[in-house]
Amino acid sequence: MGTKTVIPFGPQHPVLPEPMHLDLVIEDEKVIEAIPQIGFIHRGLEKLVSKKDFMQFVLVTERICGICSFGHSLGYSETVEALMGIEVPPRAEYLRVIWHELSRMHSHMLWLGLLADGFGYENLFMQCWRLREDVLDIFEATTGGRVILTACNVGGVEQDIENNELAGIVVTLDKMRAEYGELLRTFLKDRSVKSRLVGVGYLSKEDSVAAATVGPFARASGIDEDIRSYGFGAYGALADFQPIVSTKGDGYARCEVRGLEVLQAIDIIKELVDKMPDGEINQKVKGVPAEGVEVVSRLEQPRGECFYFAKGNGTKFLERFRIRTPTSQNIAGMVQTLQGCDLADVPLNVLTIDPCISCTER
Amino acid sequence: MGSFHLTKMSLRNFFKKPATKMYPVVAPTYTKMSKGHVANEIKDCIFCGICENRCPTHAITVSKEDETWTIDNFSCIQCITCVRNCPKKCLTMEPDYTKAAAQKSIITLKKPELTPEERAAKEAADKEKAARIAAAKAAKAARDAEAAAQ
Amino acid sequence: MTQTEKPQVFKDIEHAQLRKQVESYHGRGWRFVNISGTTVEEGVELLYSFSDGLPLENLRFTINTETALPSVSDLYPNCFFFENETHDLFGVQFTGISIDFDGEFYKVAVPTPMNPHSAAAKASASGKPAADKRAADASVVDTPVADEPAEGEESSDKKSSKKKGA
Repeated sequence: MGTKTVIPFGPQHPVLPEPMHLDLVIEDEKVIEAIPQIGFIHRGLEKLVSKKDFMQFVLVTERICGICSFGHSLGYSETVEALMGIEVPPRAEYLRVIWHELSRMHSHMLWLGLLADGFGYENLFMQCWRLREDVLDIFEATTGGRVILTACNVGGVEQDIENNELAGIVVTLDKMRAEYGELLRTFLKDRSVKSRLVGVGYLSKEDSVAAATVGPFARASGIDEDIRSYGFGAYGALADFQPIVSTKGDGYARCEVRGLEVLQAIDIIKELVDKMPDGEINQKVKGVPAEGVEVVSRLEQPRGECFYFAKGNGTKFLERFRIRTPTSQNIAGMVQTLQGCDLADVPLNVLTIDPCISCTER
Repeated sequence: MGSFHLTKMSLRNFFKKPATKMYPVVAPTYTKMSKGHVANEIKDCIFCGICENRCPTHAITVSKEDETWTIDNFSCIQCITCVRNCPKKCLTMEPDYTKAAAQKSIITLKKPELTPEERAAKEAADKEKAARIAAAKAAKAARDAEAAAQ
Repeated sequence: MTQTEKPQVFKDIEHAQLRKQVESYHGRGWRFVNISGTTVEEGVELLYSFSDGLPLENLRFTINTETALPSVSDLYPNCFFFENETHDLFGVQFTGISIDFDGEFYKVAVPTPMNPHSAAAKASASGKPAADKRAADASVVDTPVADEPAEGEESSDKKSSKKKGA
């Protein structure tokens, strides 16, 4: 029978990927309870809608987070376009999805690297990030920015990618497959990696549903839910999209789901490049959002389902813009996985929800 | 199952060049689209102020009386709004970005004085334009008088 | 290709019916999505969103900052995040949140920054001297404009009338 101690974990800790605080109540190296606390990097970005007009606000949404940057500008643009009834040209929709899938690839590769660093395999961490540089080079060649792309705006996209450049992108991604396969094999088959991941942070399907988890965190526990399968935007043009689902429910399953989603993203990009239509890339925006009109929209970001709500008030400033990020939904699930785990597995459990606290707090 | 799956990749990397560059000793490779800093071809600038109005961070200040264009490079977020909206297309986005410095620097560009040849050419062009306008007015007055007479 | 949900379903309810409606969604197995708030003249307009796969429905009602709302975090555990956030940013009162941070969830410089009409914001505005409020608001917006916050709305309108239309 041991005594209970409370260990404060975060917001600054070498192995913690994001600035959140956890009060861990432990007894003899086992965590009994974890109380989360966030709010260290709240910037009040949602209040900026009253200062930046709706065309300029897309630059603010891009800078909410460095990893999901393009996803937020895409979700914002889609929501405001629905608010004002703007039709986006098909080529712009395809280009947006290509950039979004590249964004998903770079985000998952970043996460795989952080996971390897979390259990101490630094070589694997470095190799993942070295391979991720290929995706960032594609971003720089097509948009000029490695992390903040400034590619999406209300009405379409800012610049075009020529068809021969698109073919070059597909060739680069195909070349990446072989090396990425080696990394994925290490994650899924290596004995030392498996001993740190299998059985860690198990969440059953019922618990996952009760905690309303989203994204790869939910799909690893057997919930078959992916906003991309509803066919919004150019996702509707995909011939057969099946979300990657695993039933094991532990850290290994979450690693498997995210690792395989990278390969699925390469296939999606290839399919869309083959079907790419020609035409305009931008629709000129006239007028302002009407008073009292409200729109909600959802987007499958790398971390899960992201929810956007916009309300107009007749001026060029939006009345309200709300972003609900997937991490805020997954925190309750994370707290549940932490109950009963070893102290050494706490950073792994925090990492398996792929936290992005800068999006969550805005 | 098995161990040491990363051996092949590690041995390959052992014999390859490093993937990182010794920046800033080695210059970075930029693409043609890389966003670095905004440059202005000042002799074409008409100081209309559109770039100042559209800049989301108020990094640009334009003074029409003094004929100066000022930019605070450390405030610029490389959104290319100014470049896209410039009516004279004198703004460009150069790929190399502002280097780290101990102090923020503000760059002011002033329109250069016209050389005597340029001034003479400008005066000749203005005179020609004034003559054309006067001729067109006279022709219109003649046409109106004719129409009134009929 | 449709970009967003069609049709958009917004149900207007009374705040007293909230608990019953949420229990009905929970009973039918719908997933909780979001709580969001917008400041309006009468108080705060709250939007509760629920989803069952593709269908997405939103409950909409207005409440003032004096009335207390029952928390739904016993039905949906992850609600505690949104209820604490709504309390800190808008001043809406909730009773019975599973993990209640009591106003300390977000570290905000002025109380209820998104809702200047709430009781807490008015109390702090009358208590603090004007210079402090200006400094607190200037930290939210990063533009060195001379005529800043207390007349924030009018100054931005004056600027917009000078600029050419978007």
